[in-house]
Amino acid sequence: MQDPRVLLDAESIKKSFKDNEVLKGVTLQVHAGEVIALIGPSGAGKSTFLRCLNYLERPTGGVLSLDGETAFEDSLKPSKTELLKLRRRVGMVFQTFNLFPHLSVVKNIVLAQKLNGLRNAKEAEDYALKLLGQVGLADKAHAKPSECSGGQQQRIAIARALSLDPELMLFDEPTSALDPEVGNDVLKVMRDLADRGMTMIVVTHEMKFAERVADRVLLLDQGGILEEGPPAQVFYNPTHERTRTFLQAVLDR
Amino acid sequence: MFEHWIEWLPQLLNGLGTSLLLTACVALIGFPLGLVLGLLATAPSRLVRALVIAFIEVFRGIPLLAVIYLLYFGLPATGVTMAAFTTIVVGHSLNLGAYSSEVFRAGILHVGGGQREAAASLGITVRQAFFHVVLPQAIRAIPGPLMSMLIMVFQSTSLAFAIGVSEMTSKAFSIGSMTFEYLNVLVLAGLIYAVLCIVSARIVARVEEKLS
Repeated sequence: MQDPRVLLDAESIKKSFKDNEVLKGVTLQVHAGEVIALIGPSGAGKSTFLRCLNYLERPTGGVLSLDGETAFEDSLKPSKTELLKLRRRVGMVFQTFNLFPHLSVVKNIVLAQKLNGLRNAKEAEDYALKLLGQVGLADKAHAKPSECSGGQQQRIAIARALSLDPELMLFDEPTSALDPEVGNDVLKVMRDLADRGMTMIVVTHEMKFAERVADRVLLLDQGGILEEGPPAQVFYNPTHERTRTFLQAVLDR
Repeated sequence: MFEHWIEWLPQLLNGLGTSLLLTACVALIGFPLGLVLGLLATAPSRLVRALVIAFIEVFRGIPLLAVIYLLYFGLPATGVTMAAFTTIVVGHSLNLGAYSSEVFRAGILHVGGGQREAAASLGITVRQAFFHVVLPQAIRAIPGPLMSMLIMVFQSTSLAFAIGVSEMTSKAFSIGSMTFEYLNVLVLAGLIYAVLCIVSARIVARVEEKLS
């Protein structure tokens, strides 16, 4: 089901916070329909790299292209229009869900559709309800986020990100704030999404999920890619000693 | 002593109407002013911040009565004259704006960065995010302090008496000056103020409980 079309081309993405170089030039090409798992020790720069892909974090170097089109004329000085355009095409799911607590579940999913002028009120609401059905939460449409469990909130956050029909979905440790059994519901929704052909980049500590769902696993360490390949290779036949140590540490936890 | 109360009540209630109208005008101008000041106090430009903070400190520092006198008796020297009612609304709004700016600022800071990031990641502009995500949450976080301020505004509309706006205190005073029953009529006016304030404070407490 993999499309040869390169959807995301991140070339030598760099990021420094003052003198601290967090990303030392990470290059990644993602094909349409591909699922990438980003793993690695904490502080390796996984989340920072992911956040550079929709410019929540502004890279200090590198070039970003989406579907063969450079996202920014000057990647160091992104224009507002370019930023909005990129973010409408790239959805993001956060570790802490970040639902809007003052809005009902369905309005959380309607808001961005309306503000982006994507659909009118009626269409946006119908679409939101359809997405809620897809993540198994149609009955929560009129609840407030605070009345939903963590796992439910994260599934709502996924529906919200999907409401703009993104071409690429970024997941930043989507289950790290959840209990394992609740996390499984979220992982299932993500697996369904992958099965339907969504292009996804997932920062995760869930090695089983990475192994089963990802087409490619990237291990980031100290701001660079240490190991890259299909899950079977990275998990069972890594080329670096450092990879073995990391995987061992994760398994021992 | 109570036999006069019924007789005085219509006049006092008439004054109360003016007090409430003043309160409403001051709230309608002062709170938005406070919101703008609160926002500007966190502006990136150091000059803007300094000017706004100076403005806030000045109007918190000068007693309201002094501001009112300055506007009413001082300003005409520069050619600006305002009616007494307008003077109260302007002076009081400046005062309320300065005091409430801190509350609004706290409310806005209360809304976490994650909310702004979520909005940004959904292609929502900073301005849209402010009005649809940040502001509604900020206001929900601070109804208590805002309502207490409103009650204080209502009480201090009695200062309008100083420049002859016939709100409730001035009505009471004029009844007193005609009947020499100052104690009696001022107790009645005080009771009306107190009842309204206590009742609204209770309502605020209820609302706050519901929101939290």
